[in-house]
Amino acid sequence: MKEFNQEFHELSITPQELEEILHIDAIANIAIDFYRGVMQKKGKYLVSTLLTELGLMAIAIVLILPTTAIVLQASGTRDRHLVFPLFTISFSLIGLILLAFNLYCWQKAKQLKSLTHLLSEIEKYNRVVHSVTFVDRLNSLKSSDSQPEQNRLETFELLQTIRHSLITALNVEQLMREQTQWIPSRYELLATLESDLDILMAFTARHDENDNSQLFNEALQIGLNVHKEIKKFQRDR
Amino acid sequence: MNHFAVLMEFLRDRLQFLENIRDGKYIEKYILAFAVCSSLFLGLYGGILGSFSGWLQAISSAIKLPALYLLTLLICLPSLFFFDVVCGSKRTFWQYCCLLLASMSVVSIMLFGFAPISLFFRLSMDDYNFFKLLNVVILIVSSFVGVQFFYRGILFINDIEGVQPKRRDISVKAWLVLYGFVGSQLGWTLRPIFGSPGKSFEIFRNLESNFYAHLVHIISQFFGIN
Repeated sequence: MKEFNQEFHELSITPQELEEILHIDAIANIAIDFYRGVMQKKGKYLVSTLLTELGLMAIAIVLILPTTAIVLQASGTRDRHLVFPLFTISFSLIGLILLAFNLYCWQKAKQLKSLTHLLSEIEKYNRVVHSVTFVDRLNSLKSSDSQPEQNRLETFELLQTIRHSLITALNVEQLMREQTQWIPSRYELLATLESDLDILMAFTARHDENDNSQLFNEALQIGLNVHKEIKKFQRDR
Repeated sequence: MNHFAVLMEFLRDRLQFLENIRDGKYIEKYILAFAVCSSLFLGLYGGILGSFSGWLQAISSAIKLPALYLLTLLICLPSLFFFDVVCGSKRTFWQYCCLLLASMSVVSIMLFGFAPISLFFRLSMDDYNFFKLLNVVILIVSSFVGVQFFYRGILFINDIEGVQPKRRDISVKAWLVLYGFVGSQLGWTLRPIFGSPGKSFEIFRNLESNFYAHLVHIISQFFGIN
């Protein structure tokens, strides 16, 4: 029983795994947070974006304000007459830098829209895996007849298929974003996604009501969303 | 993105960090995290330094102290990079920038650690000269730790370049002297950082002489030589 529980837990997609698959830089990460915070209105990411903006503003102030003051002083402006030009020039420059940064993030965020949606699905998927692991642990404490082995196996297979779909979708998205040409590996990846979709459809058809019904349906929805997202991305290209 | 988590990750596993820098991994992530965190920590410590001379000086010092470290880095970085490139280094400009910012983060985290001590003496006594001396010692100790980290780091990331170790060692040490030279002169230009109690607030003092001439002047005065 314990082993199976551990296997459920191992189905989650870790941040390290995502880093290895995606290879996205820090600016892209900021752009993704920007999209999720500003466009999707997710509080956690909005706070993260605001903190990054504040950090950048702090760096800009630290670099620009003293540099402007040194230049003004070297050009002959003295202390009392320094204040007005110092603040006008410095804050105009800081404002311009922040504006340029936000515009760049906006552009980058638009390019990474599909990836952002896939990352949201991964977040949902990880939540489902966490819940399934929890329910499984609870059931293991109850009597042995609480959840038939068949149901658990079915849930496990479903999560495994969705995990596979999500990772394949991430690879497809990355390939399509980086390469404008149609390359053979993309065909293979799309074919894998199609076969995953068939498996998911079979799950939908044969699924019976059980203790995990809600989680099961949620997981199925994630799997189907991934396919919709990739189809949409293909159309947009 | 959690910049503080990145900083903690770096502090806990420096070898992994140096390997990542050598392999060119996560450079932008580190640069951003180090720049943000060290600016904040240095700003906090700068605020304590300036607080002896009023709140305006505290704000001014909170900007000047991180500026001192960041601008020194920006001024000296090209010389280090181009010198090493000429000597055969294959590392990129951002790898050097990241390592220097990491050293600055080490300094800032040390100062952040000393901040409660400095604040304690600031609040519990009224001796400006002692406060100034105490903080100069803290700044020297923290900067020394940061420089030591940088020295080891630069030798580590350039380890596989095939450059003669002795030659490499001399060039890094020479660059560190230059770094100290620029840093002290910039500190002199950015005065007052500690402020002067009893005097009115001033953004900058007049640009007079340089740090080294002033040092010679103080020593001459001490020995009664004019």
